[in-house]
Amino acid sequence: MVSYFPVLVFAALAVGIAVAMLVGPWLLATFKRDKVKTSAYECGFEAFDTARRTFDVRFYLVAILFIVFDLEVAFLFPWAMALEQFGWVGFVSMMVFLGVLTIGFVYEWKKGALEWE
Amino acid sequence: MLADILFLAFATAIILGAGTVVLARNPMVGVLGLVFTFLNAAGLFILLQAEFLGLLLIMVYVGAIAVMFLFVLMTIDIDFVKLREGMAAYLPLGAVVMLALLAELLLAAYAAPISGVGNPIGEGADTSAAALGALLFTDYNLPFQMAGLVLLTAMVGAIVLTHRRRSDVKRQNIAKQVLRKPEDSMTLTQPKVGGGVTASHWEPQTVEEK
Amino acid sequence: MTDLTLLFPTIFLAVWALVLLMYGAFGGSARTTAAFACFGLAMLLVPMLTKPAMGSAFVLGQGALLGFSPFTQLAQVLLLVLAIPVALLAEPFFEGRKAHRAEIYTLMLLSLCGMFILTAAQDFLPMYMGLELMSFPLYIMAAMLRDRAESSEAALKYFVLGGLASGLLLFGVGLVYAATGTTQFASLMVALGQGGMPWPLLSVGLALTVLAVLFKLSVVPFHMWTPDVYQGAPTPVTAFMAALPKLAAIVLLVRLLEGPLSGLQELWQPALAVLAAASMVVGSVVAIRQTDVKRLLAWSTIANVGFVLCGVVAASPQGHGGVLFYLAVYGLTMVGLFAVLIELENLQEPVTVHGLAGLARRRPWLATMLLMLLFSMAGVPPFAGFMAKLNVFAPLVAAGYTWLAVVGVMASVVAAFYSLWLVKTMYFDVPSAEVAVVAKPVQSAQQSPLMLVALAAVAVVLVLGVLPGLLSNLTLPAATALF
Repeated sequence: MVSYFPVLVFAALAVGIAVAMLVGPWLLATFKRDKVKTSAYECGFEAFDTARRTFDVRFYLVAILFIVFDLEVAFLFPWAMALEQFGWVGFVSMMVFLGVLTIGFVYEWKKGALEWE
Repeated sequence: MLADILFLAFATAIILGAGTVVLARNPMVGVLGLVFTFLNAAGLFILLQAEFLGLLLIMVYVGAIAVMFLFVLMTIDIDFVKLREGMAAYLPLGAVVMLALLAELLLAAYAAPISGVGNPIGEGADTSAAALGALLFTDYNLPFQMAGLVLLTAMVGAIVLTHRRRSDVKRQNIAKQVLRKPEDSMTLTQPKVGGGVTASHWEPQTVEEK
Repeated sequence: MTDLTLLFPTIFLAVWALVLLMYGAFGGSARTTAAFACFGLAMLLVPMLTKPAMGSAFVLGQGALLGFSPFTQLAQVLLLVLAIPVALLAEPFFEGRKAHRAEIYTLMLLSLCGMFILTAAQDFLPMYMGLELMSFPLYIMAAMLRDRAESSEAALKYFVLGGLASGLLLFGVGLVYAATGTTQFASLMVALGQGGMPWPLLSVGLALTVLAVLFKLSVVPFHMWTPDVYQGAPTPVTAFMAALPKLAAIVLLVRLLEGPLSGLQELWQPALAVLAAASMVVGSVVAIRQTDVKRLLAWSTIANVGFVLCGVVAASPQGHGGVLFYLAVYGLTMVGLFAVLIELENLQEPVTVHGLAGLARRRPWLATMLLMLLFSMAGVPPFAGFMAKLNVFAPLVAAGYTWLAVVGVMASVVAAFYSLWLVKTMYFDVPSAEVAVVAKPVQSAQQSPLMLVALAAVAVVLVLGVLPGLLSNLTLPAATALF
């Protein structure tokens, strides 16, 4: 746990600097707003709609397949670190696990889920 | 001492983050609140010396699941303000249920403080990723393999439910491309001077679409 | 390393699911995949019947992750026997709707694999994983007709509420672990066996754990998802949901209550008795007001789960044997009923209560089968449903819960009312004008396996009604050896 102390210090610094940069100008800088200054730039349009557009739903499939493989990879970390402690049992169990997911991978490949079209 | 302060800091931040998720007007802000909650929960895990779980939380939840939420928010077109209209009406009932649950837990914890049990992970236990792995891939092999099957189910489900093979799109057949030879697609002619080439003797090979 | 022969059926199901997935992905048609799935399930019955495996797998410290006993063995055989006709139902339904896909069989087998783990679980970890592996394919299968809004709605509702139940289960397991430092049933039994009331935190944890199982069973306070999901899901999937997960969940519940929680019997017995009474009454009474037949069957499921819980409340081998008997008969009746419903849907008949009017004149065979299955459901004597109810109520009286048995009999009378009401509608009512126009003329349906499944269900229900010993001679000895 102690080895994570630098991470904590780093996180505290990052938050501190970010807050300082947001709050600093607000305290120190001078503001004089008027209508012309805050309006859109000379050749810009006034906003007439939200900037958000709905994305293609196919992103969703990509995202969920990514999560599945992300979780698969998460299991590989402790496996790699403990590989010396257990023998063939642990090795084979991971190979079976990977085998199952590889079958899933072959399935999605054959189904064309990886093609964008 | 420092651990206590850190616990309080992380716990407060989790409550703030969770509050943001529930109350944020803009769903994007809500998801960012969720990310903030996950990060602080990871801090709590590390404080409990379950460092691997903490890092996993960042990797899987922040890295994948929160991103997934953002994707979903971007793919659907819903007026979130409208969805929340009924919230005020349900708020009293929800508050009552929440308070009841809270009272139940507090009463239970008061009657038998958890601290009597000691460190839930076990005093002085090795909680590194290596120790986790040594258990997970030997003694708890079965739940691990079942996790693989559950992941497979998720994969199959995602494809079955959302994938549509569109017929109006041209696709690339890589094997066909690689197997293609020069003779299949071009003919060499030696036109006489001034004669030119007529296209009649050359039939373009149609590339079949599958 | 554990003896993998114990796990053979479970592993076989998983491997077969993968094989079917690959077969479908490499161009195999859904029809042949269905045949392969049924073939695999039938083949699996052979070793399970001839070489029943008993013992513990993955032994750890005091206990094990899985424990195979005659009780689990019989439950798994019953699950398999019920799964085969359900798998046969899928093709005639989905083929007509252009939604027959090979994946549904993979999902069915994976769900079955989760149920097998669930029936054998002796630790909270495999129990949780089994519950998830059982439920995930159900959520997906419920949404199989993805172009129909009701199907997606059913899946979404089921998924969200199921996720909530899983969350509560995990929370409960976490509290149990915090209090006792173990996830094993055996160690928990030791910890609870020291007498006295368990710590409040521990009891909250245990209550949440049991609650998640009750959710899967759709016992009354946790039943709200059932009607919508049953109505919206594709009919064969509804048959699957009605017949199989209930059996797996009740086996888990019995082994949980009689195992680690056996010391707390005076706590859970009255609580379950109240829930059983509530399920029976609410399910039976609300079913009367339904107009959609699938919805009606969903409410009747809730009532039936109440009857099954009576056997659990009895807390005796007779009661537990009655539970298995009841669920086997009930599951088969449901499969038969849904087979007839699919046939009606395929014939463009409306599957509403009023739409059934005059069915006996239009399709006498279907009406007869529906009549017999409904009679069995109502508990009319020559059919198996009567023996099933008798087998749970008799041990209940022996256990001193006469009031619950009285409530149960009264609920059965109400349940008999709507079953007979349906029969009356089919045989004596005159169809409304638009129904007569919509329904296609009689056409032969011999080639479809639907009639085969329905006939088989009717036959078994009749045979078991006359000779209940055929099944109860199996369930009673199995129930004396829960672990």
